[in-house]
Amino acid sequence: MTRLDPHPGELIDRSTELTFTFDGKPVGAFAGDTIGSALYASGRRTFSRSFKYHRPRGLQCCSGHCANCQMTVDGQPNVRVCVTPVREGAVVIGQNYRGSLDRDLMRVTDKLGGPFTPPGFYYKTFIRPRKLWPLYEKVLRGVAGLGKLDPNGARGGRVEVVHEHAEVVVIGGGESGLEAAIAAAARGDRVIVVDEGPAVGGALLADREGHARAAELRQRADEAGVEVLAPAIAIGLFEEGFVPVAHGDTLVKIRASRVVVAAGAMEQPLVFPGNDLVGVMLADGVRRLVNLWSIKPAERAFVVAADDRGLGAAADLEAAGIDVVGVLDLRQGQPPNIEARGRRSRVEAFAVNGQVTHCDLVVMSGSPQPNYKLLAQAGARVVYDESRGVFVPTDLPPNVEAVGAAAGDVGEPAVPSPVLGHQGDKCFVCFCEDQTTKDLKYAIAEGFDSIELSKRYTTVTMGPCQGRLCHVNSIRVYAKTTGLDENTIGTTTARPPHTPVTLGLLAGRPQEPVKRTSLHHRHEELGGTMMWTGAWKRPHSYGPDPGAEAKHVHDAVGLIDVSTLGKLLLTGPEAGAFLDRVYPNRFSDLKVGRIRYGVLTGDAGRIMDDGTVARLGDETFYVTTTSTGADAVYQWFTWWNAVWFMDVRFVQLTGGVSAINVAGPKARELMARVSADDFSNEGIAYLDARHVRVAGVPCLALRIGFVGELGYELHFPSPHAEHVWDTLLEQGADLGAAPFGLEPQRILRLEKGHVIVSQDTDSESNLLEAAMPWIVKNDKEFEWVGKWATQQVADRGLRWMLVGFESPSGVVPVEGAQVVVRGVSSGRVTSVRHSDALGKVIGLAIVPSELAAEGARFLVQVDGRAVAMRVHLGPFFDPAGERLKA
Amino acid sequence: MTGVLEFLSPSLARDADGFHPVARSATERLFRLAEATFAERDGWLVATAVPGEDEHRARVGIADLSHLGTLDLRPAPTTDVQGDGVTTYRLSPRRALVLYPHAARSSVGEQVAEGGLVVDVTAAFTVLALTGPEARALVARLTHLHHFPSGGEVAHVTGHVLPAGGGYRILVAQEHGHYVAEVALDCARALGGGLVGVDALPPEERA
Repeated sequence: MTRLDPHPGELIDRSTELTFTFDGKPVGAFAGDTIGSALYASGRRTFSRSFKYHRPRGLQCCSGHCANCQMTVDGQPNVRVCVTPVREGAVVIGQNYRGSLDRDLMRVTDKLGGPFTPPGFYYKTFIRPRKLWPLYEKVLRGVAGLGKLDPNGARGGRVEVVHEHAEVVVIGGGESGLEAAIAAAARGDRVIVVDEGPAVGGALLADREGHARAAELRQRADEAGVEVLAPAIAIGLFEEGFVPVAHGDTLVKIRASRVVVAAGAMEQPLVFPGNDLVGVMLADGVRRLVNLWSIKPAERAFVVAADDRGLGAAADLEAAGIDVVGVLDLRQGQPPNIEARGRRSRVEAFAVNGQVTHCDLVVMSGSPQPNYKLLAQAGARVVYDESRGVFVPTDLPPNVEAVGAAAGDVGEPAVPSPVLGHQGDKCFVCFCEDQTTKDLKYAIAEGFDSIELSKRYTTVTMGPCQGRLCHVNSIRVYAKTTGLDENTIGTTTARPPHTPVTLGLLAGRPQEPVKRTSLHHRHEELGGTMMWTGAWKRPHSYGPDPGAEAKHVHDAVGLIDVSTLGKLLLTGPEAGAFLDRVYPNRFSDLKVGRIRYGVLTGDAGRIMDDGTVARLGDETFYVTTTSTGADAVYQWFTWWNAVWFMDVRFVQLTGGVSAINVAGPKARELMARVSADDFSNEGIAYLDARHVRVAGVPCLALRIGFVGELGYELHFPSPHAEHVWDTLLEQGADLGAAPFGLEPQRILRLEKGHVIVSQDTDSESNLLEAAMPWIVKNDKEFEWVGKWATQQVADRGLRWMLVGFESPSGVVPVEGAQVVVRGVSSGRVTSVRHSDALGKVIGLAIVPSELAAEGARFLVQVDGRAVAMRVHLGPFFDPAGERLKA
Repeated sequence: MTGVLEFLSPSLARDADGFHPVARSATERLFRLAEATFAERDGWLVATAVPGEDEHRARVGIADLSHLGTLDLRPAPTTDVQGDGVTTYRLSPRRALVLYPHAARSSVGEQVAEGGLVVDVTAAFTVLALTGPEARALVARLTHLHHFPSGGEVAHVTGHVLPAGGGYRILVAQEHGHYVAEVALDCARALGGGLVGVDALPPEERA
C-alpha cells in the first residue's frame, strides 16, 4: 500500500471502502478515488500499451489529458481511468495487448519493427503485392489501435440530452474561472461552470497549499448561485455560444450569451530519450497523486522543470516523505543531453550530460501552454510569444473571452528545446500515436515540411489527447529541424471534439419520430403487419395473402385507412386562381361539391406530387396530397404565395383529419347502414364531395376510386376514427366488410393503371412522358408552375413513356428491373404485381416512347436473362370504369 | 365552426337520436398501459387518474389535455380571447391558436366570430400538460426552446411549448402525439416522474 497519512484537501473518504476488479482481480479503493488512483495505490504502474510499439505506459498527467491510462471499463473502451471515479463492482480491463498488460507479446514491434514502421509505413512497406493488402490491413488493424468495440454490442447505458440556457458559461473551474463566474453571478446572470476535474478548483487542488483557496471560491460560487457541472467536458465551442458538454451519461447542450474560457494551462512533457518510460510523469500529475489521493508515488524522485510547477512538485514530494534526489531547473540553463534510463521499461535513473542519478520517478514540467484549443475552434487566432515560448490566443470572437492561464497568463517559463540527434532510447513527441523526433525528421526529409501535412502524414496530434501534449513539441521539433520560427510554422486547425466522447453520447437518446394514424392500434389488434411509409407506420396487410385481400375488395367491401394522405385547406377569394397557377389543370372553374385530380410539377416540369382537389365553397378548397408529400406541398404553396401574394390562406389539416376509404361493390349498401345520407349516384355521384354523417360523425365524403371499385373516402375528425372504423366493420360484417392494407391497395391501383408518385415517377418524370398529357391545360390565361418546362418537353419530342405491361410468361420481374432494347438498358420496371382478379402479372414501366403502343413488346432483365413483356395501354381492370361509377 | 368545415370538429359529432360518440386522444393507449382511470368529459374519453400519480406529481407528471378545444385564428386577434382557462397563443401577427375548456366554448366562439378565418383544429393537436417541480427539467430534455411560449423542435418533431401555471403545455401534431408522449414519459421516468390524470393537475394547469 502506498497511501500517505491523511491530510487536509485529500479527496478520498477513508471511511468508505469500495472494490472493483482489474483483469479479474479485486482492487480496493476509497470513495473519492479514481480508478487510476486506486490502481496506482494498489501497486500497478503499467496502465496501457502504446498505439504502435506496444510500449508499457504509466500514469502521466492524472488529469485526463493524455492517453496513457486508457482502459476498458464496464465494456466501454478507451476510458481514461485517471479521471474516472471508482464505482463499486466496476469491471476494468487493460487493452491493446496480446498476453497481458505487463507481458505483451506485441512488444516485439518495438524491438524489431522500427525499420518497417516509419511514418506512412502502411503506404510503403505493405503495399506489395497489392492483392495481399486486405490481409495486411486486417493484421495491422488487429495489432494496432485502442480498445475494441463489440460490433454486435447493444447500446450501452442510458444517455440523456439536456438543453440549458445561461447568460454566461465558464469553461474551467479553476481560480480564474470561478472568479469570473462569481462576478457574473453577482450581476444577476445565470452562470454555469464546466470543469473537467472531479471538483472545481483546477490547479489549486493539485497544490498542497491551494485547497483552502479552492474551498473558499467554491463556497462563494455556491452563495452566488453559480451552477457547476463537474466532472464535465466541454466538447467544443460553436457559434452563438453553443457549448455541448459531456457530463457523465448526459450530453448537456448549453447555449450562452457569453462564453468565458478559463480552461487553464496544458502542462507539456519534455522531449528527451526515455521520456515515455513508466515512472516519468508530469509535475501536476504527481501532485495530484500526492495531494488529492494521498498516494506516495515513489521512493526517489528526480525533477526536471521549466517553470515553478516542477519546483512545487518537488516541494510536495519532499513534504510527503519522498527523497527528491535531484532538481534540474531549465531556467537556469539547459544541458544538451538529458535522458531517462530504465530497465524493463521502468525508469531507474536520470542522466544529465552523462551524469547518472538513480531514481524511480522522473517529474518533468515543460513550459505550460495556454489551453486555447476551444478558443481556436471558435475562431480565435493563435500567435506564438517567442519570449515565453507559448502560443497565446488573440482576436477572440464576439461574446467569447479568455481569462487566466487560458488567456496566456502562464508566467515566464523556460523554453525547453527538444533533444535531437540523441543515441539513447526513443524520444517521443506524440505519446498517443507513438511518434518520435526521428519520425518527424523523417517526414520533413520526405517533404512533409508543413505542420498540417505532418499531422496528416505522421498522425501527430491526431490521437486521443488531440494535441494537448504533442502539438507544441511537434512544432518545436519542426522549428529546430527546419530552422523556421514557430510563428511561421503555425498551429494545426483545432476541431471538435476537444476531448474524445462516445458516439452514443453524441447520438443522444434513440428517438425515432413516427407518425401514427388514429387507427394505428386498431390495425395492430386486427393483425396488421405494420411497415414504414415515409414517416408513417401503415399496415402492409392483415394476413399472409395480400392478393386475397385485394380480391376481396372486388368481391365485397374493404376498408383501408388513408389518414396518412396530406390534407390542406385553401381558403380565400383567390384560392381557385392560386390552384390554377400551381397545378397544370384548371380549378377555378370547378363546381362546388366536385372533385378533380391534380398533379403538381416543379419549375422544371418534373412531377412532385399528386392528389385530389375538392371545392367545398366558393372560396374554400380541400386538397389531398400523397402521404409523404403533405409537408412539402404545404411549403410549396406557401413559398409560391410569398411570390404571388395572393389572397389565399393555407391550413395544414393532415393529422387532425382521419380518412377511411370504403371500397367495393357492397360499399353503398354498407354506407346506407351507417348513415342517413344518400349515397346513391343521385346523392353523391362519381367525383362528388358531400358533407354527410357517418355513425353520428360529421364527414366529408369524397366519391373517388383509387382502387378501381365503387368507393367513398370518408374524411372526419381524428378523435372519432376508431368509432367510425369499428362501426363500419360491425355494420358490414355480414357484407364481408374487412380491412385491407397497403400492399393490396397497390395491387388494386395497378389493376387500374393508377400511378404512385415517386414509385412510378422519379426526379426526371414529366407530365407528358408519364402519360398524362390530358391534364395539361395550356389555354389558361396565365403561366402555371412548370408550364415552360413542359412545353420544352413537347417541343423536343417524347423520349420515354410510362406504360402498362403484362408478363405473358408469368415471370415477375423485380421493381427496378432494366428494360433492354437491342442490348442496351432502355428504361425500368416501376411497379409489378400478380393480380388474382386478372390472373396475370401486370406492371408499369418506363420504356422508349416508340414502344408506347398497344401490344408492343420489350425485354426485361430477370435473373440475368431477358424476358419478354407486352405493352398494355389504359387500365387492366374495368377499363370503362363501370364498377367505379356504379 | 359549422358549415363546410364541420367535418373538422370533433365536438359536432352526434346523431339524430342524440347519441354522440366519444372522442379519443392519440395518447389513450399509453394511459391504458399505465392502467389509468378514464371518464367521459365534454365528449372525450379523458384519463382522470393514474396509479402512482402522487409520486409522479411530486417529481414531474404528464397529463393529456387533448380534449381542450383549439382554434386556429387568422389573423391573430388584436386582443387576447378572454375566459376562464382560455389561452391565446400568438404564433405570428397573422396567426394565433386559442385553447379553451369546453365550458368556454360559446364565449370563445362569440369572441372570434368577427372577421378572419377560424378553423377548429382541436383534432389536429395532442396537448400534453407537464406538472411538478421537475417540469422544467423535463422540458429541457425534450427541446432547446427556453423562452415560452414558443415553437420549434420538440423531441425531434415540430411542436410548441406554452407555460401553464407552474407547469407547461406541449402541443404537437396529433399524428406525433403518441410518439412525443412516449418520449416525454421515458424522460420523465428518468426524473422519477410519470403519467398523471387530469384531476391530479393543479386547477390552474387543467384548462
